Amino acid sequence: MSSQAPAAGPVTATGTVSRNVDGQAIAITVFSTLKWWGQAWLPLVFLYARLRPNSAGTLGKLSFIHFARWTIVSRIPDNGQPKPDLRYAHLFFESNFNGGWEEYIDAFSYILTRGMTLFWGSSYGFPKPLPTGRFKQYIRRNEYEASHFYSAYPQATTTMVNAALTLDPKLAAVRQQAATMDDEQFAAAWRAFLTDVQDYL
Amino acid sequence: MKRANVSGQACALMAMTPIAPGEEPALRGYLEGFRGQSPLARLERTHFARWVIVPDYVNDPKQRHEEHLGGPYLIFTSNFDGPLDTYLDELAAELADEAREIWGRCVGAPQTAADLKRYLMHNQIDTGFFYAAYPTATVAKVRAALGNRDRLIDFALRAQSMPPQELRAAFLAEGFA
Repeated sequence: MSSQAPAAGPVTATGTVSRNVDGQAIAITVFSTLKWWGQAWLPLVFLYARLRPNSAGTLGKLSFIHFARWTIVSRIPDNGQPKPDLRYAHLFFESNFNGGWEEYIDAFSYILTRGMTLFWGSSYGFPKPLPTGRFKQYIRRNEYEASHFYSAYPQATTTMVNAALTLDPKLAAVRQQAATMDDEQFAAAWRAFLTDVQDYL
Repeated sequence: MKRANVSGQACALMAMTPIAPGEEPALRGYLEGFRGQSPLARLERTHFARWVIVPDYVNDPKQRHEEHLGGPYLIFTSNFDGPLDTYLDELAAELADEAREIWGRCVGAPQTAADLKRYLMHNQIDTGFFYAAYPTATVAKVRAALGNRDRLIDFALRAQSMPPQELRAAFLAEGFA
C-alpha cells in the first residue's frame, strides 16, 4: 500500500504552501525510503561531492539555492518513546531556495540530471529526473510542509547575496580611494568602479 | 562536530524528536502561529531554519515492508554560523519560553536550558552532504553586504548628475559599512 505525506494547505503563486515561504525564500523538505544498498552507496556519493569541488560547483550552477542538505536517517534517537520497527534507512533532503517550486524542480532535473540519479537513485519510487513531470509527482508525494520557516534575509535572492558579497571588497577599495584621492581623481575612480561592478548592481 | 555538518563557517543542525501522544495538534498550532514574527530572528547566527512535523514516513508500493514511525516526530533544522556548541547555548537562552511550548510537547521534554542543549544534541542526526552557496559569510556579513548594495544602487542613481567636486564628499558622507 502506498501512503503519502500529509496534505498541505493552499498552494501559493510560488508553487508551494505559504508556510514553506518566507519572503523570497522557499523551503522544501523531503523524505524517501532507501533501498538496502543505498545506505552503503550514498556515503560514497556524499564523500565524492565533498572532495570534488567541481561536483559541488555543479550545484552552484543552480544559482537560486542558499543552502541544501542530504541526510541519511538510519536510526531514530531513543527518548523512551515506543521504538519504531524500522527496517529501512530514509533519505532526508532539505533546500532553502528562491524562485518557484516548479522552476526549482525543473532546473534540478535538467542541470543536475546525473547528480539527481546519484543522490536519489537508491530511493524507492525514484522515477529518473527526466521527464520532470513524474519527478515532480514523486517529490510532491514525499514532501512535508514546514510548520514554520525562517529566513534571516527574506527579501534577498541567492544571486543578490552573492552579488552583494562580491561587491563588498570592491566598495571597500573605492572607499579607500575616496579618502586619499582629490575630487577629480576620485571622479575617474568612481566611473571605473561603476563599470567594474555593473553586473552586481 | 562531524565535518559533514560544516561548509566553511556554516553549520547544519538537524534534531528529530518524538512528539508526545496527543500533543501534535497543539504543537502544530503553536508553530504555525509564528507566521510573520519568528522567534528564530532572535538567534542572530541563523540564516535559515524550520520546524517540520512528520506524522509518518511515506511508504512506496515497491517496498517489501511497510513501515511506520509509530507516532509523529518533530524535525528542527537550522543553517547557521558555527560553532554548534555556542549556538545551542544561545538557542537555549533566547528561546527558553518557546522551547517549553515546542520541545516541552515532545517525549523526554527538557526542563532547563542545560537539559534543552543536551536534548537537542542527543537527538541530533548528522548530515550526509551539506551545500552552502556562500559558506564563508556570516548572517551579519550577508546583511551588511546587502545593505551596502542597496545604498550603493541608490547612491549611484543620485550621483549621475553630480559634479566631481560634490561626488567625493557625497560618497564619503554615505558612510558605507
